[in-house]
Amino acid sequence: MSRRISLPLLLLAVAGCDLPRDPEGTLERVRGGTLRAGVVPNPPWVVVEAGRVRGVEPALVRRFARSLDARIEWVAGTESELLERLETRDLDLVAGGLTRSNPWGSRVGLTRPYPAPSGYAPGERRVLAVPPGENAWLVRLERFLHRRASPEPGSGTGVAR
Amino acid sequence: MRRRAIRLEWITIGFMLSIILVLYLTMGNSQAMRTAWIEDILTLVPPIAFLIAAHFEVKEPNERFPYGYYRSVSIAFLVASAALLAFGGLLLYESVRSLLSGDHPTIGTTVVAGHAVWSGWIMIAALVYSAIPPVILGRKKLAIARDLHDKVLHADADMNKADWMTALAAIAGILGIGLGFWWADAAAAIVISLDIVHDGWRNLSQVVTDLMDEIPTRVGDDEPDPLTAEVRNALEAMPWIRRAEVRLREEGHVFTGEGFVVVRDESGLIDRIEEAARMIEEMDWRVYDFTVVPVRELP
Repeated sequence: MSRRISLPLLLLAVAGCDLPRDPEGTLERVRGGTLRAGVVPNPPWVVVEAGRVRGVEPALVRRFARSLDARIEWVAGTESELLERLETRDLDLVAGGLTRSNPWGSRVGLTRPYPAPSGYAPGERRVLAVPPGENAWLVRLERFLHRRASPEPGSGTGVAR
Repeated sequence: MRRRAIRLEWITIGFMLSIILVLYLTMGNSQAMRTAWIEDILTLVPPIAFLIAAHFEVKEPNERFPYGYYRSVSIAFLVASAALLAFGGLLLYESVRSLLSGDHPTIGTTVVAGHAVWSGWIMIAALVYSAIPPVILGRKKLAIARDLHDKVLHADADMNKADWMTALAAIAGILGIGLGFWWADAAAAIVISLDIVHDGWRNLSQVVTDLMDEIPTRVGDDEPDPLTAEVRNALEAMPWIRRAEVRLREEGHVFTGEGFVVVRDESGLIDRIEEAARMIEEMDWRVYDFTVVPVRELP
């Protein structure tokens, strides 16, 4: 009988902690440091032109990096090249207008779809990719995307056009 | 009693379906939780086997099946435990592979009432729900299984009773992920699949020995049932019988068999033999279709 009681107690005790944590410490490393962001050209989500990175997703990544006091190191490349580097944690994030059904979904982490900013086709469900299993990092990024989604009229969408 | 067992099995199926649905909706990326989910699907098999067998075994013997349908219980049990063993092995392979290849399980957030909550908490809540009903049902079924001498029901109850350990292992796996130990998930999955393999192996060896006509054993452990000796003593206690030997086997949850007797006195033998068989069948409800054979010497 004591088992039935002790289990919820255990859960309550653990709930106070700051779970989840990163197995490889990505969030701690990026905070105040460098965010290595892979970008796959895929307009309008990601535009790479003459060494300049623009588009819906780079704008999001810039705001996210600012919230962590981090500098961004952009790495442009093809989708499979960058996702492979993401899988081995050689990058911290990949943006490229990816969708939830990306075949790499089982080998890297995908965020929940972030809401498309106004002016783009509504119902477009795009995601960002993170290294596999870096759950604190993923949760931090998803909370950032979620807060941004909560309607705050007049706060703008932060889209560089 | 039988009606109660059948009702309990229907309730089990209902609860398990709800648990399977809840776990499916919350499952996410955890190998341990996936394994627990498949185990919960597998725990549907024994109740279904029990209900199918309960439907067939009450059929009267007929020309095609002169020994009746009692063995349908054992066949149902055989199928159920073979399925358990096969799936357990498959899951064990998957979890070991996942551990060796260093898979880092990814678990993000779910939006609950406007807040982005770490999905691990929701998965744990679902697993806590999955632990409770089977334990209660398992305890109830265990008591009935002994009285009914039903080994399918007993194995099923045993699995249900141990189900909280599966849920606990999966919870430990998810908390491990949360704490940053990527291997905790695969390790928990290995523990759960070993438990499935163990259940399958135990049940399979039990039912195979039954189908091999092993002497009757008690439900729940492997000790010989004392009934064989009691039947022999009862035969030898009859004044017209000098010596007797008895062999019994299990067919589902009833026993059939023969008693070989060396008689002192052959007068009125046919009446006495019929009388003796009737008396033995009345000794215990599990004895069904007992034959008394007069012989010159015991085999």
